[in-house]
Amino acid sequence: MRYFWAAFFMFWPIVAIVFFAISPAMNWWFPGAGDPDSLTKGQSMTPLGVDIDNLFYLILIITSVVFVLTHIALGYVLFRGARDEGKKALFSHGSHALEVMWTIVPTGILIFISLYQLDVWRKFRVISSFPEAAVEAPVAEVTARQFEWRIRYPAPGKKLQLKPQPDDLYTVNDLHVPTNRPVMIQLRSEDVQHSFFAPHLRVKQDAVPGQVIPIWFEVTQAGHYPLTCAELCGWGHYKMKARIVAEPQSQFGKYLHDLQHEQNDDGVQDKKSDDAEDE
Amino acid sequence: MRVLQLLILTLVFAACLLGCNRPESTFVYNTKTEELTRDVGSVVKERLDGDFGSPKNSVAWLRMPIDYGTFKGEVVEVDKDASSVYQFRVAFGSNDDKETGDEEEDAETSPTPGEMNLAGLAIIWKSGDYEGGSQIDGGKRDGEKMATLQVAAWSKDEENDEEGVLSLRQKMDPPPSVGDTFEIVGHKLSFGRQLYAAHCQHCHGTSGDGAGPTAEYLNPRPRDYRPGKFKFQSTLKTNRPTDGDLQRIITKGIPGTYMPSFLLLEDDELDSIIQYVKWLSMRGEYEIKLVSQLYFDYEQVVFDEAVESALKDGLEEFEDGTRDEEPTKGSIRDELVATANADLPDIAEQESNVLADAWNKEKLESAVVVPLVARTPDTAESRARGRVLYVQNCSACHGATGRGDGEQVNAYMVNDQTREKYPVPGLFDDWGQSIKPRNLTRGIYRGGRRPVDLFRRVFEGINGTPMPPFKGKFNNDKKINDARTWDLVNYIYHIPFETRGKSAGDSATKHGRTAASTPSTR
Amino acid sequence: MSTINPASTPEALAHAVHGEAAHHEVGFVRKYLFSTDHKMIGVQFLITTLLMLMVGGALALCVRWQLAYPWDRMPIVGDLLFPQQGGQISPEFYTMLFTMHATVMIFLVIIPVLAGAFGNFCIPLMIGADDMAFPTLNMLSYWFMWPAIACFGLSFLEVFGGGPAAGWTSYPLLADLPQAAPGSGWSQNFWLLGVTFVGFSSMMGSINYLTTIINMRAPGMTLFRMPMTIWAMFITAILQAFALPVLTAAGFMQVGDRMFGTVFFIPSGIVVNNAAPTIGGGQPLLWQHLFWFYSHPAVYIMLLPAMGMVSDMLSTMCRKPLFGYKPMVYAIAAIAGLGFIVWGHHMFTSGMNPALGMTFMISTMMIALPSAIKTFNWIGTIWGGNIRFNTVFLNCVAFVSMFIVGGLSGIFMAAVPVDIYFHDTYFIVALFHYILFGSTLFGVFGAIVYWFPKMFGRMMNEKLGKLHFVLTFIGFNGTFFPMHMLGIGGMPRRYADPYLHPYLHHLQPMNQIMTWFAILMGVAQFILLANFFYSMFFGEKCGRNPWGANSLEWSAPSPPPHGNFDVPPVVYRGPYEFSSPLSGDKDFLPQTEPPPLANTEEDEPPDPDETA
Repeated sequence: MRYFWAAFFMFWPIVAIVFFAISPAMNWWFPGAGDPDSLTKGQSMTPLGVDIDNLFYLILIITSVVFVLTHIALGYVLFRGARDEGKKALFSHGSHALEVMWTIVPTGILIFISLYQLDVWRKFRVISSFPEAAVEAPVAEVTARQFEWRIRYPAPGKKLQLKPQPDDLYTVNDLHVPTNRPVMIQLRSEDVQHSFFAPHLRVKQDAVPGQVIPIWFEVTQAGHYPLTCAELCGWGHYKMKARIVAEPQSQFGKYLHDLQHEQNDDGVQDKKSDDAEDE
Repeated sequence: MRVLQLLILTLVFAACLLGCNRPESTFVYNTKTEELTRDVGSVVKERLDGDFGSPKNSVAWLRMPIDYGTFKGEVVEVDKDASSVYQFRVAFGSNDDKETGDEEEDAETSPTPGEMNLAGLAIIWKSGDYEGGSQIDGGKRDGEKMATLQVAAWSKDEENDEEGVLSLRQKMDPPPSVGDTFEIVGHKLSFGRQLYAAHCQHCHGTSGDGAGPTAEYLNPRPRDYRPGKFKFQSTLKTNRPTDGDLQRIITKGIPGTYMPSFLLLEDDELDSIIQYVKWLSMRGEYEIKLVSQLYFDYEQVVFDEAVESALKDGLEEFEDGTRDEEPTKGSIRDELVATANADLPDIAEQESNVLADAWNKEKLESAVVVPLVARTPDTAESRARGRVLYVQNCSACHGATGRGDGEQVNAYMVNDQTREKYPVPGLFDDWGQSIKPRNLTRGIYRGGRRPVDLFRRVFEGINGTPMPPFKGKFNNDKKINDARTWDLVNYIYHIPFETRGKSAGDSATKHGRTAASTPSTR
Repeated sequence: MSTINPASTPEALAHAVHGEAAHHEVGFVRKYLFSTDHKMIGVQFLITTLLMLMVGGALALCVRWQLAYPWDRMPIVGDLLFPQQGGQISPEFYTMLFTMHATVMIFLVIIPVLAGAFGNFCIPLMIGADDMAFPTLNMLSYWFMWPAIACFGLSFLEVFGGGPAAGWTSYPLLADLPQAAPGSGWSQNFWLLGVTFVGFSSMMGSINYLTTIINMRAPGMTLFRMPMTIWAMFITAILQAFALPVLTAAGFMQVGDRMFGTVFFIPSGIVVNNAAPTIGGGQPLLWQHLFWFYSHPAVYIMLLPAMGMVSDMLSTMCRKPLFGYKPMVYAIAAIAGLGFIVWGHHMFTSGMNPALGMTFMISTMMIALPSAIKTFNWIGTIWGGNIRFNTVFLNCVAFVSMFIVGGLSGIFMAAVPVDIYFHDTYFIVALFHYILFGSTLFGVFGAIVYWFPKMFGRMMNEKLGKLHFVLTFIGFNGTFFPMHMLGIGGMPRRYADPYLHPYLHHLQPMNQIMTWFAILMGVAQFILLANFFYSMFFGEKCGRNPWGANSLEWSAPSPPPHGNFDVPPVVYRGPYEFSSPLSGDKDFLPQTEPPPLANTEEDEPPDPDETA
């Protein structure tokens, strides 16, 4: 019976490891992994996102090794205890040498991880490290509200102003950005806290009412990416389903022109497209 | 182990209790329907339930101009020896009328029978012995083709999802013949209902009455579809909205309210929801119309009085000898109720025709408001003219500076239906909710921000609200009137950018500045 | 109780002492309801928290049902509250479910069961005192739980908005502005009031524990002879004392914002639900700083006592001294100390100054270290032991194993860029459930079985205990391990319907399986309740020291009378002298057993605790 318990405690870590190992193939991994139809196949679509993924995998390797080793140790002591039932226990109060060793080694590992990732954080969040190209031409202002994302583009050829301009272009739940170029958006909130979360781009930033927070990213592959909210904002928190459409610059420019045309629709400008729109 | 056995027993017992009460979602009847005297009210409800059904068992009333979603099919194999059958093999052909012939596009927009659960949907026979309906009960109503037999299950073939075995809820006696064609009706309604339940119901209510569980916390309240009034439509005020209007509201949302944008619904999901919402609206309006015809005479209190006086007359007649039997309260009631119920089919026929006509697609498309002239260029002169019109026509409600604080906000409005003044000052909409004139300084345009949208709001007003139509008000000549309307629209666009004095809310915070489009105003 | 009596027969001592202890009979109400006896208060806390555990668990099952079958009929709850919608719950109801699940579990279960139940019961007994320093305050600390329970209960009422819905984290502006959500009306006020009452209760407790531990230890009980349980309770009490006032202040500020027109957290110009724009000038992030300044130490409050108890239980069940006692003490102190400077790791994506992000990252990384040290020491304790594979031991090993998982997954979040992705996803949910449930709660289950004989003089049923353990363990891992995958897949927290988003669509089957494991886990807790209440009255009777343990409580009768010890204890050694060469035939050496007066066997005095 005691061997059963020792085995019981070893069984579940093995299941856990197997589960982790098959997850990418089963599409239980980063969005799109293991899904042959997916655009992203588990990869991040921004260079910073790739850095984040690499950091994740590094930590995953380290923690997996620790997990395996500690559970082997646990298994060993359990089986030994099962085997030596009835034998008098070791009268040991500890080992100074071991304490020192297993203080210093984890410290080293942790310091290594800390220092390794400082740079990625700086690139993502410190405004003075944002790419020039992104900062000087913000693409849009994204305002989160209960329960949608309202987007304001500057008119084609103009620069985004903090205050809305008469010729700004407005849309909802549909953020278009050009690919292969760092882009910046200004994130705001109209009411409560929300969070701009684009899983495939590995971007997340809380939208705080009363603040305008810049976010930058560079999308490497054209496509439609989900945008969703990651900070509880009320009963419709799950409903804030939006998309980021990354497209080549020329298509992006065309999109803005079409948006401008549609936004200036006076019902007469082209009867044909008006009929189609009324459908 | 005694304890363990007792525990398991208790848990199993508790688990059984769980399965006992299974509520079904139900439609709510209007308060006025509930106020009818019982016997008349129950017949009205029966009629309503028969014509529209319940949420889970909807009836596709073919008279109503709704695209219920159709699959056309043909019987390919029947058990020849059976005298009656519950199931037979079928093959589905080309699908509903939206097919454009372009394979790719069709594949995107129209679902196939293979993708759907057809249970509960109705079959209409198009050829063979059963054409035009069914000789089995549950079919015709007043000689009309209604939803007939119902599908119990559909199991498609593995290789070909357009062929398979169709099982019915009711027996077909005698069986259909090979080659008989039919249509399965209602997949959009059924799909629409599921989507509505997931996305819309908690605000708009199961019956589309705007009284779902979340509704009481929202300002403004969610739309109650039942009166058939929709605020932000492109058609004339007396008309219903087009499908395109509903689509615009759903995909763009209504800024400044809790109606969010559902931009990312698939096309077929959007279509199904629109049909379902129209269906709910028609149901609601049908109920209101039926009841309104009967309410005057058959409302409980009025009816009781009528019974009393009829009883008195009846007793007199009995004494005179002009009446054979002595009338009792019960018999008088029955007589009066029978009159109502005899009238009901005609009333229903008439009202449903009116309703069907109101929602007719072609009619709606021809009722779309289209400006006669293009938008006047947005110049300072145009805006100045617009300002003049604004002061003359709009400032009474919208205020001198556009903040929605005009003097009407402090006046007492009269309720159209009860003809009485509201107890508190201010404006009210047709649903009885307090409503404020739009604060135009915020730059939030609920019905859409395109110039044509603003034009329509001014031209036709906003259905169900005190915002009146201004067509013809600016000039007798229609074209000039439209040009003046454009001037007003140009001015309205300019209002958020007019320089005004600072107000308390325009303060700067440390990390950023609030945009000027959200000033603090009452 | 500071007179030192020479060792003699326990009976003689009992008679001598008998006259000293004021022997007063109390009525039913003073004995069972409004008792000032720490043991009764501890049992009261334990029973209350067990019941609250079922309430919190039921709320969790509702959450899991919605995630498995969104918008389908929810059994019982949907039937009762949403009949017109066919049993389909509303989205704001879902926000209330997870808010109250967390609130109940954190404030009404985990914190009270550790500090209130076991802290109260064990501290005086384990240090050799006859009661707490402030018995009446102790009683009040229990009874302040009931207004809290009443407030949380009232907050559920429909008339007040149907339940607080801003998450247990209660972030402004969702929680600050009454019109921002249905549950942010009066429900939220009741919630704040409830949290304040729980805070009072905890504060009273922590003052009591600190005073008792510092002042009332038996003679010979130096600080480094205290069992780990006491060290853990001591350090937890320090955490409570310093962190709680900040939460209370923040709570008052939020009440002020909501009811008295202050604007601590409210910026200007915000329009919610078409209400009047806010006047403002406040900063929403301030709440997060204040809240997490308490709530991060709170997670250590919810962990450290269990760590201490597990150390003691492992040592006893392996018949071995605790491996590295002093390092363990220093590690617990380090966790607590560092715990005060890591709160910002809950706010990496919040928009706070990025430089702060870096500092918090470093301190968070460092806090993994003492936890690792402790884990190695536990494994070291088991190593070479003469192990008893009983319920207590199994629960403790589960503690260690689950803690490894929870601790390691925390490292991902400590790395800030990775946290950008995982913040507010199910990865975090997995992490904290592995710590709070997988570690703490299994530790609590073990502690219940371990100290039950001392509380009630009877043993709990071993078979039922093991059955409960196996089912809970399987159910727990089946429910929470896949959450790591859900988080990696980018599934956000607090979503009533994640499958609305196509990229999450494929995760529904996994969620369904998790729900069924959760139901298994929920049902298994009834076994614990049955075992607990049945054994209280019908369990096998036991003596003073059924486990053969060393610490002081096992030298008192089971259950101990008012005043605890019939023989006033004197401490001669640390609590981990198992299998000592000095202990002779038996493999334990109680703290109170005096060392042999002479070297020869004949001169050894009789062992007062022979009946083990």
